[in-house]
Amino acid sequence: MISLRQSSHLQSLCSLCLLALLPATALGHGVADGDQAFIANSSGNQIAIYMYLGAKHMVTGYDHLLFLLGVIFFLYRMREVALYVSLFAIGHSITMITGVLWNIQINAFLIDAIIGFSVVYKALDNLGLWEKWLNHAPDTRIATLLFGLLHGLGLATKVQESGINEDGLLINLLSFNAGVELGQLLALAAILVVMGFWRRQAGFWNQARLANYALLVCGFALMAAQLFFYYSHAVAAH
Amino acid sequence: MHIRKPLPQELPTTRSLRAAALAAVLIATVLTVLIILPAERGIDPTGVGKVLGLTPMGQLKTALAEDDAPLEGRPHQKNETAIAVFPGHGKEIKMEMTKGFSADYSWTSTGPLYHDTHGDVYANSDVYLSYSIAESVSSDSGTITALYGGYHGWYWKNNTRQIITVTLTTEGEYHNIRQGHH
Repeated sequence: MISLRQSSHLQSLCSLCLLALLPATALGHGVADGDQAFIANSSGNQIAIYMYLGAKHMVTGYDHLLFLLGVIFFLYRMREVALYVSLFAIGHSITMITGVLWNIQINAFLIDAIIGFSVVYKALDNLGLWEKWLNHAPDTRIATLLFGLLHGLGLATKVQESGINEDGLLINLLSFNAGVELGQLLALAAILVVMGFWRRQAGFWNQARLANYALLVCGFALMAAQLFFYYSHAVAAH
Repeated sequence: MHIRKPLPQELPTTRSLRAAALAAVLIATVLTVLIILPAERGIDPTGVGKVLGLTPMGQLKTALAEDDAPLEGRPHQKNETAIAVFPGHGKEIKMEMTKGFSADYSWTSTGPLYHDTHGDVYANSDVYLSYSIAESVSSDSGTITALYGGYHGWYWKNNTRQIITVTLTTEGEYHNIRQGHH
């Protein structure tokens, strides 16, 4: 067992990288244009490049981050944080790698809408509303694994859209996945430090309610926006 | 989910949180200098980006994003150039173009050649995007529209045992056309 003091050092070791990364990136959530041009023009094993792109995708992916924020919102024990984050990581690793290797491609807008729904789910869970409405909340561990699997399908679709080359595919894919996990740890560390300070405030419990309603609204907004894009693209295709 | 309010002593102390935040800022700074600046801007003060292969990506992104124009004006010109490519060797002809310049070209050769028609960015001649590539052809024509400022043109490789002559005509917007700009 790691003591709390040590573990919070660990958490934060990497932390505010999230903040450092933000200004360098646009809000769009595919693989950025310049990155794409570079990938399309190169082949072979590019471990560092793909690790970087995986980490960047995670750290700048506000939808993944909102879900992660929801998941750890009320977790302050390292053991619990590690459990949930591992479930999420296992989930998205499985579908991202198999998704790319088996060429499974799901409409990017639909999968992003589902990712939006995962934020809605977690906000409702944090507000205790599933329990209130259904008398019984879905098991958060199973839900986190399941949404991990779905987030991974989104990642798989993005990787395939990025024009990844067949040459060196497996190594590059594993590098991308390792980067995603690293990026997730960096983002998580930053979130945990900020949450750590916040949790110690007297007003935390009242603000937490409000924050989870805000998370709920963000989740719905993501869903609505992605479904609208899906619909307008479907209309344009006709 | 069941939420139990933690006791104050269960939470990380303010002191350890402050230390954590400080460590985070330090690591963020280190990562910015070592990794992010090379990969996003092609700025690599330590050389780590180059070792990891991230700097070329940053240089390409910068070139695509910026109007990098050391030469003024928008000249229109027409040239015909002929070069010999020796067996087993490669040759290049490049037009120096500002971002957005466009030029028509056509070339024929006396034998089959490998060609990679591409543009090098100003910052690094090893950083380029290809417009078209073919394994074994003896003519090609088209239009190059510069995606970024730099040297845009042709690389030919002679995989036969005979000397092959290439005759290239170009017409459009470019500052100059030179052989062997790599």
